[in-house]
Amino acid sequence: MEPWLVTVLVCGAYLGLSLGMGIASRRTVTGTVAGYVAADRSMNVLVLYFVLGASVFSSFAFLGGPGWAYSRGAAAFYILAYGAVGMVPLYFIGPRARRVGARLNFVTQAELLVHRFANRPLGIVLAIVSVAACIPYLTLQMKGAGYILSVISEGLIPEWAGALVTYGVVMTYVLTSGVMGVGWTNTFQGIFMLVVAWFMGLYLPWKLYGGVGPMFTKIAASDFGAMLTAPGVTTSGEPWNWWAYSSAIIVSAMGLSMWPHLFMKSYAAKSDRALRLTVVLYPTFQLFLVPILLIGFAGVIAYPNVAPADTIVPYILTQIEFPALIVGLVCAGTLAASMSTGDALLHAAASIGIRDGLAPLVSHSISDRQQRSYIRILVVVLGAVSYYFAVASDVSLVALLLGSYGAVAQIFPLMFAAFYWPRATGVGALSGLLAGILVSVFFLLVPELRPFPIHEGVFGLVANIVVLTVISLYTRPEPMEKLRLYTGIESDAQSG
Amino acid sequence: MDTLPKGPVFFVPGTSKAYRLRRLLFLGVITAAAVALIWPAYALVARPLPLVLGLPVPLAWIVAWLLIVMGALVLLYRSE
Repeated sequence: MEPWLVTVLVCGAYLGLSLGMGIASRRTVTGTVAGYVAADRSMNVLVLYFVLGASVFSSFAFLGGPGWAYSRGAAAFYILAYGAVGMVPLYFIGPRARRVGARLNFVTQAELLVHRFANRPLGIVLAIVSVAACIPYLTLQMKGAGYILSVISEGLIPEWAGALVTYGVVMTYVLTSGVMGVGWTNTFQGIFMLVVAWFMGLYLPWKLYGGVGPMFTKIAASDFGAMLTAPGVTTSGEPWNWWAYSSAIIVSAMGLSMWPHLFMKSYAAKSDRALRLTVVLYPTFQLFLVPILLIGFAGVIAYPNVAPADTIVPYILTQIEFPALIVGLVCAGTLAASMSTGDALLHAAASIGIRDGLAPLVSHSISDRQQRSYIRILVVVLGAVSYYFAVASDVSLVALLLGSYGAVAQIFPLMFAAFYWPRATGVGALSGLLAGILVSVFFLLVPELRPFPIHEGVFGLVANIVVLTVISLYTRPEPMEKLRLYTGIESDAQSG
Repeated sequence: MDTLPKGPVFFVPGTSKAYRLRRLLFLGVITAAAVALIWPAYALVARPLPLVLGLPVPLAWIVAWLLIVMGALVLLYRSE
């Protein structure tokens, strides 16, 4: 049997297992919106851990991350750095959100903020931001999946077909099982990703250089040595700017736990302790970025001049004489990285689009059953839109995604104020959010007008916080009864 | 009549001093980690050599802080 066929069959088996697992999970939740979107608030630590971890680590982890290490050296360390602190806010804010959500039947991030700030337009804005941020992210996952299947099949599976099959599987289990489908498959995919990453990340340096230390010693002594000096280099080989590096860390760290598809998992946790323990354990998932980056560094001396840099992992796979079965498992790991993020994005974007976008705009209340139907319809629509961008559009998705982080980070001041600043008002929150997004988008589109060479999200955060604070102090706060719910619902020391 | 504090409220009324101290200490560790991972602190460890456990110094520095944050999280979680 041809090696490529073995590889494709392994990937096919992986897709089949994911599909079966995703569909089977349907039996574990009720047929309600709470079941579909928040798993009936029943997720345990194991599933939560993999849902959070695997959702964060996407195609970027297996393709982009090694690509950054390969082409930009120490610049890639920023991915590890912001994740070291980025999930910590969820330790404190997550349980509070969970308790409020359980009491008031929230399943989305925007519902909580709309209630806290008694401001419906805020929900519409958040819905637009959430869906708009999810689409490029989802599209990039589809492109990654299509690309890897095309490479391992030596072109026999075109990228459009690879993306279609992979995300046909994702869409099927998201449609049938909602967030529990995401949970079960992410657990399977997360274990897969971890094993593949650690194996490749340790094996390749040993195979090519005799170990991790010898690999870095050789790189440091070579013409590529400068790339190992922090903060790394840009794509043109020039040293990356410290301002840009540091501000990227700040914005990414503040935005990480605010991504709607991650934040919403607070509602799915079965208890505060389960959620907190998940955050405590999350750094172990973050550590898996180390072997991921080692894979990219392994290509620097051994396989120079590979372009584009994001193709370094599939390129190495074609050069190293692995058995086809191993190549198949590595490719399946790459698919797992893509799918584990794509399913969460697709599910969250559709849920938010209906709960926060459509429902507040219609004059009559939508029944639980209708909401689920509409969410499922939107899953198909958003999947189709993202697929179109993945295969038929030339829009710069990486640029869009990087810009999305600046917008998502603007949610952080609102979420902080919701739980820790009773004086924050709805008018202040909406004004701050809009100011932050507008400033962030402005400097994204016109970078030459930035007063300092830093991430545009930082300018947005400054504008956001100033406007939120000033306007809140001059507008009427929410009633004390509601504020007690958010700032003192039960003492944190007593929650279980 | 209840009065509304103008500033942030980090602890609900009734939380013990020990509880507040633990959380403030934890916040101190996280702040230290955040400072350590950006300029200017991170610039002090910018050079890759000598390798630390086979890793370039900047990477080893970040991994070390990741482990410190995890340790702090474990201690905080167990204390609560």
